[in-house]
Amino acid sequence: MFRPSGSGFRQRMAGLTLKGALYASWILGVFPFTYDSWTRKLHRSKWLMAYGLVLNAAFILLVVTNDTESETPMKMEVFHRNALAEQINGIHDVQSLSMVSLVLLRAFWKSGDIERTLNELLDLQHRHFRHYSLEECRGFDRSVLIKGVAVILEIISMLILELGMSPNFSRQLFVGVTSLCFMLLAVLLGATHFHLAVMFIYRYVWIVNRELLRLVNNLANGETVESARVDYLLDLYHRLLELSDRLASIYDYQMVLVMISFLLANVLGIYFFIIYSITLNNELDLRSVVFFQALIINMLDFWLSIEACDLAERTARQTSTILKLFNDIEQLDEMVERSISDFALFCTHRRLRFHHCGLFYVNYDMGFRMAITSFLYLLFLIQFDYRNL
Amino acid sequence: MSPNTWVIEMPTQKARAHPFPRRISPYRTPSRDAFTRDPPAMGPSPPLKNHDHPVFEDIRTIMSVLKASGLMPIYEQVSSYEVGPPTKTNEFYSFFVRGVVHALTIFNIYSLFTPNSAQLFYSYRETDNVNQWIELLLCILTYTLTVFVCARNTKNMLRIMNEILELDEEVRRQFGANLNQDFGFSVKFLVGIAASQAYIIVLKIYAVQGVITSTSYILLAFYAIQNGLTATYIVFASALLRIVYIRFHFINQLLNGYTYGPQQKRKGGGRRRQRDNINSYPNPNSNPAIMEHFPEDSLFIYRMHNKLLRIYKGINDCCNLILVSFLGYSFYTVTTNCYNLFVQITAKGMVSPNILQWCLAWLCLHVSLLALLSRSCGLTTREANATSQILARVYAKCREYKNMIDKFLTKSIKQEVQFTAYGFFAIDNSTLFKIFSAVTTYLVILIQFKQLEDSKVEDPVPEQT
Repeated sequence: MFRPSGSGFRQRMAGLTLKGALYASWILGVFPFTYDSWTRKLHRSKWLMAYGLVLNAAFILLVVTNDTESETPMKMEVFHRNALAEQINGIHDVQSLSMVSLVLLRAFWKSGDIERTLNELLDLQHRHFRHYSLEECRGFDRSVLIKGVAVILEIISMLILELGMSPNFSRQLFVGVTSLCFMLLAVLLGATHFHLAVMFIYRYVWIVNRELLRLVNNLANGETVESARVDYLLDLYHRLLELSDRLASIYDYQMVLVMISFLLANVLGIYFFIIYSITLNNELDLRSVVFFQALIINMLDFWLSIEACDLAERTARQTSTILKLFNDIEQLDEMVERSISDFALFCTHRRLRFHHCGLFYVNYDMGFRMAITSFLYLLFLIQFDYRNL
Repeated sequence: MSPNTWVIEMPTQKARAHPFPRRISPYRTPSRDAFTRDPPAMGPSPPLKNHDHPVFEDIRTIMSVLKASGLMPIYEQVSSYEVGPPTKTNEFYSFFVRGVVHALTIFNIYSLFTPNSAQLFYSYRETDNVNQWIELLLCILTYTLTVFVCARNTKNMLRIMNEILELDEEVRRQFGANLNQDFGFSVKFLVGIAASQAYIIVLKIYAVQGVITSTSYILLAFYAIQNGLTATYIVFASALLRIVYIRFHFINQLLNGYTYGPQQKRKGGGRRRQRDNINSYPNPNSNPAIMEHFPEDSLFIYRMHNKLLRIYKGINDCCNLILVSFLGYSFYTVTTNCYNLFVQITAKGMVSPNILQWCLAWLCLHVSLLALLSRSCGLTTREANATSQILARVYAKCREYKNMIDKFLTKSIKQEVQFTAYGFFAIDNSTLFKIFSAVTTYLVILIQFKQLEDSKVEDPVPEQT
């Protein structure tokens, strides 16, 4: 599964990203499974779980005890000017820490389900999709690559933000920053697992689509097509949808929490920025650039998590469009026609969509509304404390 | 993302374009049922038809504007039903124009950030200046994006045009119908856009005190051109959608002929429909003998519908980003102008007719563009979705072809097509309503800000320690 899908540069880079994500997750203890290459299955390992729990608890403890972040002069300046900002920042800190611990705890708690789902994905890959060429699926490679780059950028911007803002370097600061980065990496990797799983599902749906298109072409060229072929594809499609539902239900709380904290961070970031640059009449300097890049990278990462789901959803919607192409084939075999109808009906009743906690579907529509809402909140926040601004 | 996957998957589609004519042609002998389907008047040799019948005649004016500004490729006409890629010289011309545009954009941004442009921002309040500034930046952004996206989508645009032409040819061969219609609205809009931009420039020039520097003139002129061309592109997108709408409408009319039969009597006997008006297409109705053409017609219609959906999606993919940024820009402009109007009207004693006219001109321009866009999208979407409803009515009428209709209907359940702005929201008639409700919300927020600002000035907060 982690083999590169082709020999091109991009494919190799994507393979490298996948491998990097796997090893980093093992090292940070957020992927408590061992791979048995004989049975081609993942097994949950108690030792790895214990290791991960202890390690991450240690990170969180280190972060809590070595918190020097709020002493940076820029923040002090902002907080001194605006007490509301300080209060909100406090809430955000608590929320982030609880988010991290909840995400990690839930990942360990659900590891049995994760194991089964991943094993099924591995099984699908080995039994059914191994024979198809994967080279043309550019969306997969690109998305995986961008996600990898975004995670790295996120860490780097965190480092710049923490180290660039602090005037005095001390041992405590280094310990705090290092553990903070590891903690962040652990959470981001947890979110990346979901992202990658979605991308794998996307790729399989894409292959099913391609096969369907091939069938239509064969029919249009006057060749015969067996209905068993369509039924086989329908079966695969069905399993993929099942898997996606399970994935969404395993990762729902984690993803919702991660998204909320991304959104909060963005809104608060812009708010602090406004206080800092406009209210305090500071000139735009290097520090604001540092601040700005952190914001942009944050938004990028947030958008990527939406884009992956939207890509999968769109691809699944294309399946019905492709099925429509069977409409104008003359003298279609009755069995084939029945299978196609089955497939079409299945598509109408079940769609590939990622529904988190029964709250919302993750797609562009929702992403747009989230962006608009956070902009509104920003406005309200400014209005709320306008006199102090 | 989406266009790519679609394009990757679609080449296979091209392979299947060939079998169709072959399959259809046997039925297309002149002997076929005389009263509806005569062979086309100029008959069996459309390819021999010369180049003097230019393609896309109906939207010629707007096309030439877009071609001149480098937004559309200056394509070559291969035959009446095919356009080819532009020649090297023309390609170079488009490239050159786009280069000039980008250079001017950079110059504009530079002068916006330097005091060069200070004389253009003259307003009483500081926030208003910021607003205008943002508006200018948004305009620049929208136009630059339009140019970039158009340059990138040259091939897709040509593909879409070829698909439309191919479809026209098939319709013509099959039914002898020429699906041209009057696109007078595009010319009217062009004139309107030009007039309002000119008016706005004049207003601005009158408003500026002192001698206007040449930099300011360039800024203003380019600003007007940017606005005008973006607006023109939107009109063009609407016209394209209208073209697709006419084709969908034709299909639906065709199907409609099979629905309500008994009560209507066929009018006009065996005469052909007029060439230029699809609405006069006589219903091949009521006669049970008509129903026997249903199988082949339905196949044709299904195929047309698939192709039209593909074209529709292609147009959507080409305009996606442009539409998003235009809608954003338009939304912002409408909001700020409404706000300015409000300020002007409520401020007693200092109503400036200049600003009032300026605001009204902007509002008229953007509101009419928004209305045009959402109306075209809404019409096309409704027509595309109507096909399955009409088919469902045919379903009740004839039992023997239920299977054929089922084929289509099962695949259309819950598969509404939508014209979306990058997947963010669907653009149809409801968009207009949504935009105006959002404008109201933001207007209220802006007014609240103004009151806060006023109260802050009136009673200053004691200086903090």
